[in-house]
Amino acid sequence: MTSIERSYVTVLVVFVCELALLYAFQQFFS
Amino acid sequence: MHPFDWAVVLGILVWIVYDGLKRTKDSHEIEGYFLAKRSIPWWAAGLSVMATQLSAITMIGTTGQGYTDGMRFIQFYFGLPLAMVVLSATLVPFFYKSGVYTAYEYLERRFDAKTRAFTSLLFLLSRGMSVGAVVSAPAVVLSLVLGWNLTATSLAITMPAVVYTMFGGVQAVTWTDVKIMVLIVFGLFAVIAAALLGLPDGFSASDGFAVAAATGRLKSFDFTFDLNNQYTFWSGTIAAFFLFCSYFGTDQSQVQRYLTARSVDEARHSLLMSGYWKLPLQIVVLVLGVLVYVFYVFTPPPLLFSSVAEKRLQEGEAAPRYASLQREFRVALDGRRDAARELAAARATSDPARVEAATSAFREREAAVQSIHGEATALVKETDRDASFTDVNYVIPTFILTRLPVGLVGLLIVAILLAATDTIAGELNSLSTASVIDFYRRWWRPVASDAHYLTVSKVVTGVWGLFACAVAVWAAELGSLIEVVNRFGSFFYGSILGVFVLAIGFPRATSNAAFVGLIGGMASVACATAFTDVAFLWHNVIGAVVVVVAGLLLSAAERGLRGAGVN
Repeated sequence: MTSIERSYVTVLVVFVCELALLYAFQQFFS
Repeated sequence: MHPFDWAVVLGILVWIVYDGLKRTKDSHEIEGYFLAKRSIPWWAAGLSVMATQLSAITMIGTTGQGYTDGMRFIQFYFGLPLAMVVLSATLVPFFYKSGVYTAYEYLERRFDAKTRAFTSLLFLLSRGMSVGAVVSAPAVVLSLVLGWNLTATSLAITMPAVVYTMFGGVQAVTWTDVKIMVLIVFGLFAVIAAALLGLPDGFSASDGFAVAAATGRLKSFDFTFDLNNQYTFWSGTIAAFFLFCSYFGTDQSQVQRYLTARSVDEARHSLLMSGYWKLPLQIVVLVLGVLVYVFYVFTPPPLLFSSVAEKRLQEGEAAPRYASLQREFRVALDGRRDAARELAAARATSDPARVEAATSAFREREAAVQSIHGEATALVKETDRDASFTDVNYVIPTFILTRLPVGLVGLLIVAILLAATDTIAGELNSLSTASVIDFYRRWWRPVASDAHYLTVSKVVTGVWGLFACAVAVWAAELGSLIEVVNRFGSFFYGSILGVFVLAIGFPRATSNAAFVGLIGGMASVACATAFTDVAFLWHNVIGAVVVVVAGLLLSAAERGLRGAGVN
């Protein structure tokens, strides 16, 4: 895997984590 | 504003222009002026991409949306990270390796001159007029809140961008963007800190979020599938994906930012930076609005944040009605504050039944407050005969002016002004590039010295700058026209993406088919706008799909006719 391909995967993993955190934040206070 | 705040505003404006003018290194030839000789580090190009999108409308309007509507607007950005990855893997290397100055230049290499000229013209029309919206929206709000003259406010936003973009080219635009982004992010966190520090003793940030959640303001996910609703998980991930692919992949104001990077991988990384940071940044912007709402649960807000509209009501025939609403509002606010305290107390006991009862009571009090505010807004609309009046855009400027300490007020006001300035600078730079490269050099003077093109580029930047000033100054009169042009822009965003998909993804697509497909895509979006209630985000999907399908069918038909010997 090249450096840029690793960056693509990282962006998508970080995005999924951001969504999960946002969802957890919403659920925690509701 | 305090004299020290004035000094901060003027000092930072002068510094930004002075520093921009110093950035003329490598701007003595056309590649330096438009592409910085491809010498910008990825992180600076990435910050410039983010700064160009983060306009004053974000600083005033989106934060205000967080105050009134909460977090649901965040769904609009769910398609962005995937769009960044797809563009980095597809369009970016094509643009970068082909050595083009504009995205549309690539279309002539792949298809023909008319497709390039038409797409570039659409860009010039939409971006040329959008500078009016970028300037006028914050200028109207700031001039009313600060008591400044509207023309002076518009010029304070536009002129710095004209000066440093005209002389410094893309180098000045990029490095100024970097400084402005740092200033804006610092400003956002300063407002969040002020809102949190303003909460009453014994009331934590967690209690504040619970209060916001009780009103539905923390709802960030709506999984209903509704084509007529702009802000759902599906429109944010699917439809907005097409919008972001088109905006970041085919709009010259964005493409030019990453074409300045040192290598194709650095160009990709500059775009991926938005993939990492755009969502958290927008969350910060919306959370700021939510926390300002929580602050005003405990500190009585004005019935109308627009003091000018309020003054007109107090001095006009509606004064008795407005005074009566103010009295009702004060009572409703007291009830809401007490209900919020009860909710915090209930949470401390961890008794689910008490928490539920307190939440329900708070919602009732909140509904009463919103009802009175709605009546006051309707009164303004009726009295001023202004059906478009909204109080949302005045919330954050009012909070900044009345609740932040001296010094920070100036810093935040200049951050709002510069958020508009950096967007305009990016647009001026890209308008000049498309005008000179796609039209002047292509059709008028194909052969001339670099010095000649550089002089023309500076003059064209200045002319676009004057145009921006004129549109900004007369924006109030041009209001409906600007709206029409902005709507016109939404007709072709998806369609232009469709042409680039044909160009890069389908080697057998022909130039005539792509051109006719583009017209067909725009026509189908116009029909969708006129005859359906489909939310505008989905127009990008319609446009792109129609262009690709029509382009492929027409290409096959054209090849068939050629095979049959028909010309």
